[in-house]
Amino acid sequence: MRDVIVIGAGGGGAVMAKELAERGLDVLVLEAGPRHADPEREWSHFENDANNPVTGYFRWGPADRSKSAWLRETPQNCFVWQLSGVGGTTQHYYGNCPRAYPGVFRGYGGADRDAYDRAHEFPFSYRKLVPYYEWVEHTLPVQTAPIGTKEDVWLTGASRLGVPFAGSKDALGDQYRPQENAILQPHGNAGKTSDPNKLVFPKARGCTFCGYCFQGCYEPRHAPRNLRAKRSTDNSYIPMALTANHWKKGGKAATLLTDAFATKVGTVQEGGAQVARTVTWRVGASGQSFTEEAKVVVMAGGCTENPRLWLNSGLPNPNDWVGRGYTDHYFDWLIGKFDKYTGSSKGAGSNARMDYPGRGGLENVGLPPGLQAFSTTFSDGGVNDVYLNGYPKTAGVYGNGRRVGTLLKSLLEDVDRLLNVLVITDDDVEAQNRVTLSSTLPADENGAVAKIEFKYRQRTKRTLDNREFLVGRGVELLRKAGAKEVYRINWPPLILHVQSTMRMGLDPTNSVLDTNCESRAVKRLFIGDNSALPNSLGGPNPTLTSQALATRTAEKIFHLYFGGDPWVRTESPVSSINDRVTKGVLAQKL
Amino acid sequence: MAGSESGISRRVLLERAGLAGAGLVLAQLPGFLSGKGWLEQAYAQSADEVRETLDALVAFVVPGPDPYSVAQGQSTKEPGGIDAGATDLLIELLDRFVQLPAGTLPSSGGVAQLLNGYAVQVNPVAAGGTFASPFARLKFEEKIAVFERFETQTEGTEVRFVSGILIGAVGFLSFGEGSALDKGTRKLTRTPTGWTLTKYAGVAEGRAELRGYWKGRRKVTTSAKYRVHR
Repeated sequence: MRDVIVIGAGGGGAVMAKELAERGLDVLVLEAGPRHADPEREWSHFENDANNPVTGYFRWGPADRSKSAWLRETPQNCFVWQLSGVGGTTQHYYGNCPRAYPGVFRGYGGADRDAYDRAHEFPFSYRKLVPYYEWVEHTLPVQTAPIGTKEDVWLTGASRLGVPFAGSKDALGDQYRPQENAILQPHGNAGKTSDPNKLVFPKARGCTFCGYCFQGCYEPRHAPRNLRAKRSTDNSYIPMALTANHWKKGGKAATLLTDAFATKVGTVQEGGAQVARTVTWRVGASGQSFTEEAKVVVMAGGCTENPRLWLNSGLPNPNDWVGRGYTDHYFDWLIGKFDKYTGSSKGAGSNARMDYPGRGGLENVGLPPGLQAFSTTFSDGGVNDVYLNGYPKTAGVYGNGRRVGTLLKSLLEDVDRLLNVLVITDDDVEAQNRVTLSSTLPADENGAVAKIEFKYRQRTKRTLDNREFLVGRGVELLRKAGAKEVYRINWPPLILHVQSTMRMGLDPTNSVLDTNCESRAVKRLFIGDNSALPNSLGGPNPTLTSQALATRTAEKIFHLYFGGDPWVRTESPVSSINDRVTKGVLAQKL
Repeated sequence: MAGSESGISRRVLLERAGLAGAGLVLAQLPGFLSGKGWLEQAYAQSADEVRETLDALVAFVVPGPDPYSVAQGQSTKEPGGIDAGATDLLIELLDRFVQLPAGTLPSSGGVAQLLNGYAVQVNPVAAGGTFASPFARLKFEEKIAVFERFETQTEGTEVRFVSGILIGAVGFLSFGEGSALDKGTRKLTRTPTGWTLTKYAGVAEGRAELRGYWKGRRKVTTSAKYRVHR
């Protein structure tokens, strides 16, 4: 019997695995997709090669790219950007690591406390999570982002909006700032040249400003895996989990199985309670199924797959909240067109942001041409202002909705004279936005498939008002940065920041997990990723907070079921770029 | 050619549409086509008609000097999506959502039928003309009208996903490197059209873009308000 089985090696599961392996537990990690062990060979800087949702190496599907992607029912205008593989969606994330807004936590006493989703707050205070934030920020590590041209232009616009420059890691009010990113700062030749011969480790260290965060980070080339610039968990936490015996006295290296799709969590009755005991998974290549027992099971397959696995396993759902409360930051997208160079396609994906606690936030996003075109044509707001699909015109913009035809070509005529603003809405937890099992699509080889429903036109007034407020600020930012034309694309749900489908909470009538992230209905069953979050954090990107919460959950597991003591307040974390980790990575040829 | 839909179970319809087994976001497509009275026409389409329809869609999103762009009354001297090879990529994208059994209606065919069905609604004269595809016979403004109907009339159905994502998919495929990349060597065979159109500098291992740190600040910590003393 294993001590712990972790289902999913993404942004959260990898943290659970590393923390518990560091404590010397016997940890098995199951990952449905591949591990890209040689990204310099397996990945590229080509966006269709990487991001095509059917054929790309970053997709929700099996390792064999000749096989079909896995599917979900999405009965609305939307796009779900979900990935399989070690690292999960951190493989394509931008490494943005803002902390959640203090206002979404229990006990918050600020004057703006009613501006937040009070009915679905964190069941403990912000102050209690801060040590876990610091632990993760040191481990990844998280560093202040450098700036290139696009950040210079963007932050100049932001600085003219009358809000202060952020002074700390915390969002204490409206503010603008360079991102705190899980990307190593540039050193040596990094950021100073495009000559590939000069961008080889160790001549270059940290971010080389290549512009391909979304295609996966393998820069600088020839660096040990744990020293690649972006701290996706395939570069940080998973190498640590697999080498725990090298860098931690008493640590035990975790076991990682890829191409292993978990299909069932089995339970037993023990002392009058239903208790998780087994995990069954299917190996994609062979079709064989295996089952192992564990003292504790952690589900970390993401906001869509955790509810799917739960329901496919026939686990209890007494209050019907499994899969409900899906939040996605109801993004929108603004594009400014400039008559000067912005360098929008170059550098890290996002190095600049604005925080509006109680409303959400804004961030800069730079893209290569294919994704820039997608961002310009993915819309719920009609075509070329000829029709707006029922939405009113937005004040101060040159165009609403998609651009198509010569207008599209004109807008995209120089990708490095554009500047993007991603609108990240503080959206309410709503029961109607949810994951269930599809009754329309036939089951696939891994069981009934997920159905994702977002009633996005019927979201709460607060959510819709927040989005409009942020659009207004974003338009103003672009104008003050010097944009000659501003476009509001009016995206439908781009389900990329995902939160809260297995939410923790104090109120047992609208949450699945208790304050330890353990299921109320099934003991020894924990959730270790974004789906455990009780709300949308107020708008900040969710990965860092999920990782802090996963660290806290690992402590709870170790204390509750293995008799250990908590460590975050008493020990110092080991960084994933520590020499001991590097030696372990090299020794194990990871 | 499939038989008439009368007496055919939903299951059979799904199988004929290549949708059973692996499931598909287009699972409600046959039912939707049937509700519109377009299912038989969907099966009757030739491969050329499907391709023409999707060529006309690509020309609508990213026009160029091709005949479909000229026919819609909006064309450009510089290359467009068809020159970028987006049509083949779109057909692959639509049809590879599932592995299709032989002899069934590919998803590209279902999508083509939807566009052609709405095309005839928007302009009945489009039922006959130069191209095999009614959608390809439309003017640019009429194609916009097709999408207005396509989006509003599919609201609340599974097909709404398709009506929403289709233009975005063409945009992505037209401006990416797709058809210019040799899948075997993973090297470019030519400069991608979308790169030329957007003046994109091309891929690189890094860029000389570092300007420094905003206000010279390289690090921040927890605020005094929330600092926890260990």
